[in-house]
Amino acid sequence: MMDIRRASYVAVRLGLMAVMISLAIFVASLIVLQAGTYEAHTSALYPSEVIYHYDRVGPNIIVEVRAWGGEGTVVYVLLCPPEKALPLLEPMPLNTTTLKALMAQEDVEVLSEAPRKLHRTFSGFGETAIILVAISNEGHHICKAGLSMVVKVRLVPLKRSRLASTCLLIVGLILSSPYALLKLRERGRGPEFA
Amino acid sequence: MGKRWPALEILAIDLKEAYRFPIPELMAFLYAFFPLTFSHMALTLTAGLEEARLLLIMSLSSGLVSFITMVLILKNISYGLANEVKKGLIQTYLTYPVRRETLFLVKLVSGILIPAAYVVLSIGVFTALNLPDLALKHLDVLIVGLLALLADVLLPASLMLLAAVVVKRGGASLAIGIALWFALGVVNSMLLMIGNLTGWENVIHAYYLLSPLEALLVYYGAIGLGPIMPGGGKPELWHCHAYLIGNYAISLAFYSLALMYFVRRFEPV
Repeated sequence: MMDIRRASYVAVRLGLMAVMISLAIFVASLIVLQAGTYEAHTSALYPSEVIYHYDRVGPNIIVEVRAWGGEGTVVYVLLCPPEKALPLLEPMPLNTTTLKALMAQEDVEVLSEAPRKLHRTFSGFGETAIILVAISNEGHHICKAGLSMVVKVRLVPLKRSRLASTCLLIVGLILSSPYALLKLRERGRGPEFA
Repeated sequence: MGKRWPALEILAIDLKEAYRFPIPELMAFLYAFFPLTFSHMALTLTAGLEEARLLLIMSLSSGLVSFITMVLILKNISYGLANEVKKGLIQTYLTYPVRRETLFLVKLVSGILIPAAYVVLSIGVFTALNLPDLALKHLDVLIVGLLALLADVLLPASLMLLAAVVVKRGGASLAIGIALWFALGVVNSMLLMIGNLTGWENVIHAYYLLSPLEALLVYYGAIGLGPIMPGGGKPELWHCHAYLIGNYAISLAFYSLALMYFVRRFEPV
């Protein structure tokens, strides 16, 4: 009996530690920090011109996009692998043709495509990738356009943290249960067994 | 159980005294939570080799954790062990049917290895949540980096243990422990400065021997050979492993000295 009591005591201490680690992960998953902002405006976006911004994203990242443009403009949000996006984005400014060429590539995912205006938050990215927000003037007139991008970082990726936190909580509760049961039994039997 | 495993009995008493509820639970929370506050760096540090990124993030996230671990070891060993001698607890333990070597091992586990295990837990939680793919891809770098991180804790801890066993008085042992910890830091900084100014190869080797993690960081290009580096060229990978093994050998020598003193000369009076 004594051995079971001691083993259950060790288990409950380990279990409580697992619960505390689970709590730490859960608390960290609630914390979101602002990592950067980007804003761009133009009063003259010529036909076939594009204003855009791109940033690296990963599982922890939340991107808030606000974009607007005049008549004939289309707002695109693309997610592309860095090795495909960077060679196109780094050497020269994008235009409508190069943007379409990028969109036509196999691994490039169009997250959103909206005429004139977009206000949306993107999160839950899988692996490290490039998010590109572009306003393309596909009309025949010069127009105004502007975009803002706010990048936020969650301390731990939501999916992984939820999974880890839940698993650790369950492990903690399982490890704690023998001690709790012993204590309950002792209470039920009265002081002579305590 | 008590009759069969007296060493376990002593370990249980020791753990119950040093890690009362809810200290280990709160420590588990802090050790898991604190490195996660550096998570945003896992994404912003994109330049350089993947190994460099992994090591640098580990090194940055474990800074305060290592400091807390050293404080914990100071409390357990420099103050706790020496105080136990003064209070007569060690004398009582020596009446148990256990060898002195076993008693020494029990003190090593509860005083140093458990705090070191918290560092492993902390890095484990951090990498599993933020860099699982990177950590799995470069498991060897993760393990070597973790060993190098632990070396930064285990070497000063070995000096503190030796001092506690020899001095046997709580206050004095604590003061000597803190002094040794700082002295090691000062020696490290001096080697860094001398190496940087003169470029003497032996000084650079000595610096990397005391800081094997720095050697790994330089080897993988996580930190450049800038003005605050010890000078000289980039160490080779086998050099990094040799520094790490050398560091552990020095630690082991100090632990062995403490053990020999405890077994042969130690008089708990």
